[in-house]
Amino acid sequence: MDYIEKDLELFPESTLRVIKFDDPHTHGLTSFDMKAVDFILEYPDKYVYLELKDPDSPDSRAGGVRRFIADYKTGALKTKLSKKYRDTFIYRWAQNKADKPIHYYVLICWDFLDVPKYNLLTDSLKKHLPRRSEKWRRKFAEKCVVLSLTDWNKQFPDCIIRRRSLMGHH
Amino acid sequence: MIKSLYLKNFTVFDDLRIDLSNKINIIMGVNGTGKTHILKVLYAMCKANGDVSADNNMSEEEKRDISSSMITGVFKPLDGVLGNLKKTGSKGGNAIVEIEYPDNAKFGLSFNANKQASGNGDAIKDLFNHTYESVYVPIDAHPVFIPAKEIISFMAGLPALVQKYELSFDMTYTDLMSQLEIPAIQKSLRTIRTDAIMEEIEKICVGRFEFKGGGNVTFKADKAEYSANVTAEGFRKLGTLYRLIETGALRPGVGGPLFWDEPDANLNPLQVKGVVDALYSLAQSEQQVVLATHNYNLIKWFDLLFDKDRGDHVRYHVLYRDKGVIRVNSTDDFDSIDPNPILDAFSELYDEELERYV
Repeated sequence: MDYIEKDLELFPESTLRVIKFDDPHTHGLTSFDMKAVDFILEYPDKYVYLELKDPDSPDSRAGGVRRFIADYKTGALKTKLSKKYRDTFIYRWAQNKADKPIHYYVLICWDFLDVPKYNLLTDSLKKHLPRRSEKWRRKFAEKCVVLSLTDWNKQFPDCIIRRRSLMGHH
Repeated sequence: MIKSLYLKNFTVFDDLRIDLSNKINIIMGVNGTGKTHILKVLYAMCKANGDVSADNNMSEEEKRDISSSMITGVFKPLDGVLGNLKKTGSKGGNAIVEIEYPDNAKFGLSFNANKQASGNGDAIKDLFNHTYESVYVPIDAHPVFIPAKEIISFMAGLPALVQKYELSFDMTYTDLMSQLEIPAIQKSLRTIRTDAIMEEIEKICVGRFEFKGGGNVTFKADKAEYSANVTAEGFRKLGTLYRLIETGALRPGVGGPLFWDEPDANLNPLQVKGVVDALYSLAQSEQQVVLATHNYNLIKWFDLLFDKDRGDHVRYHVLYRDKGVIRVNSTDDFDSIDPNPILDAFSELYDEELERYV
């Protein structure tokens, strides 16, 4: 099975179960206003919800960056990212798959971003989710991280992501 | 340890109550929202209570004089008049300052804008101390205040000058100087944890400061000795913390709270983690810490190094203006800091960068 999202492709180890979640042919919710994260990684001790944003994609370089910036400036980016998490959570809860801690990773491939900006985006998104509340008995999100492709590959060597255009694919 | 602070019509505050953590408190806010005032008034009241509670034979007049002098000593109001610290244009009665301890004992005072009072003690309308009988505050429980500007570099000769002349330094500087000048306590009175903090500071600074008396301070590294003035300001700040532990001015679990104004100012970002580690370590030993900051790096390290399993507790207090009135939002959750002026400032920086990118 291929795990492809436009110019980015996941290469999970055989022991890791990965679901291409944002596939309208499989989740059956296209007639509802529900959003979905791109991939879900199922580990023994956690679920990882992975959303990919690729302003640097060669398919839509200038347009991609413009759209991304517009979303960021208006706050639409945070809203979309948190809605994807929440709706995915609801869907998985209904599947009885909210039984493990959930880690939300948003991978943004954009050369403009550096470590301080990724930290800022992480903190902004965390405020928007929310991850937890004093009145809740469980965390809504165990972790929430916005990071670069390089950092994703460092943290998840069992699920490396590569750019297809650099591997000769089109 | 202080449980809460209440201020009414005092400096920039109309009516404000802050509930403090018994471990780490971080006061945030844009300029003008009174962060340093909060630290200073807590320090002054803590110190005043320590002094008036220690002597049950003290007259009411003496108690008022001491309490007033502590506050005017740290704030240095115009003409040294306590009444000048009442909020300008305030309505609804006298200024009130009150601290509360964990056992609900309170110490407070009220005053009006009277500028004619002959002695500052006369300006105090009401001094209430419910700790006389119920709580004995040990002499050791003096608080410590580290101001934003380190003092090691200009201490030489200052202790003698301060004794003789009226200088413009406020009491936080002169008190700190005294606490740095006293001899080191016996090592047996220190703990493994405070010794570990001192070792870590020596590692970061690659050396240690030597206090020779009379405000003369040098820095020893390997076999060489230098003037403290040629060392980095960040090292001098860490050296201050080291020395306070060495003299016993800072004794977690025994002494009073530690107040630190902008611990990150002039500190290399790489050293911030070391400072945060040291503060968490002090807090684990029951040292209450209250600090004020503008720095994203600093609060982020507090969030990253937070470990609930070892008993860490941090409370973030954000001061903000709401229709001209200063209010506070306190939260124990980094993600819930709202408003977050530090995050907003960084957002603005990157928004500007984004405009240029496009």
